[in-house]
Amino acid sequence: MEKETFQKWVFTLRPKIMKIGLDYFSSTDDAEDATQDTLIQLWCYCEHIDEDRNIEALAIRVAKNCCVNLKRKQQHYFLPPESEMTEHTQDFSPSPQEEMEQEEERQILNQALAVLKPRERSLFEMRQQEGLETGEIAQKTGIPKASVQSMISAARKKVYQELKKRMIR
Amino acid sequence: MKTEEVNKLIDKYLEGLTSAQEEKRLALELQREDAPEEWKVISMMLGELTLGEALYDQTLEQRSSRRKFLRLSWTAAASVALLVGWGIHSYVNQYDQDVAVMYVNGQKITDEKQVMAQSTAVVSEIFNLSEAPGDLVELFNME
Repeated sequence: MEKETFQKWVFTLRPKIMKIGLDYFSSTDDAEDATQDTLIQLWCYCEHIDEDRNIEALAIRVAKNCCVNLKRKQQHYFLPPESEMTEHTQDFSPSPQEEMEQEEERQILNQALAVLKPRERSLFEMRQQEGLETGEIAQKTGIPKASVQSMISAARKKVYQELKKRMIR
Repeated sequence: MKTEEVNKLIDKYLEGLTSAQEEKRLALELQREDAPEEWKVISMMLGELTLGEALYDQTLEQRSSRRKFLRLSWTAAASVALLVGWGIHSYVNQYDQDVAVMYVNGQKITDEKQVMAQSTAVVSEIFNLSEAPGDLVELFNME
């Protein structure tokens, strides 16, 4: 999707993303921050999104993810001194080391996804990124539901084997 | 969820048979610290978005069930208070009830006006008697 097309989408997506933020934070400021984060992430990623993809479903998932991450950052910011820490106030936000590992994992996953045929990869990502149900994918692609299911299964098994080779020694 | 159940869900996931809801549950289960390497692979495949969405939904569900619990607690407390209040009210008022009671030919009369009317009639009847009735004479040995 081109940046210009995405800009048009922003007007439709913004209120929906804002609602997700408000449901989670009950604070307009925090919901605004989460909305901004979501739109920035989608903006950076939009060139990798095919136009026929369900951008709304993807935006909702990214928004929920941004809310959770923002909450973690806030918990980190308001963290009491170590002596006062309880199990409820522990910091679960990733450290720089963990962030590096996450980036490395993303690269490994991308390499594993490269073994898939374009159609398989597309179906795998529709499920993984947009969270669409098999029936929805079947409706969207025009492929029978049973075929979608077996193609997703084949794709998952290939990726699983590939990742196991790379990660488990 | 037990380890066996998680493994069954993983198999279901690899067969492409899991629903989006089950995948979110799986993403949460795979976050255990002692998770085997195979679980970490599946966690990577499910992706950050699935885990993020699962955590978001979990927070909202917990908040909603907490609200439901609070609402239920308040309802229960209000019901108990109402019951206690009603009990106290009934206890206090039980002595005020049936202030005027009279049995006329075996029938209980509690209406104050009726009781007063009956009492007046009986009293005036007694005062108007020239002689005490036979059963009273017998009862009190009034010779």
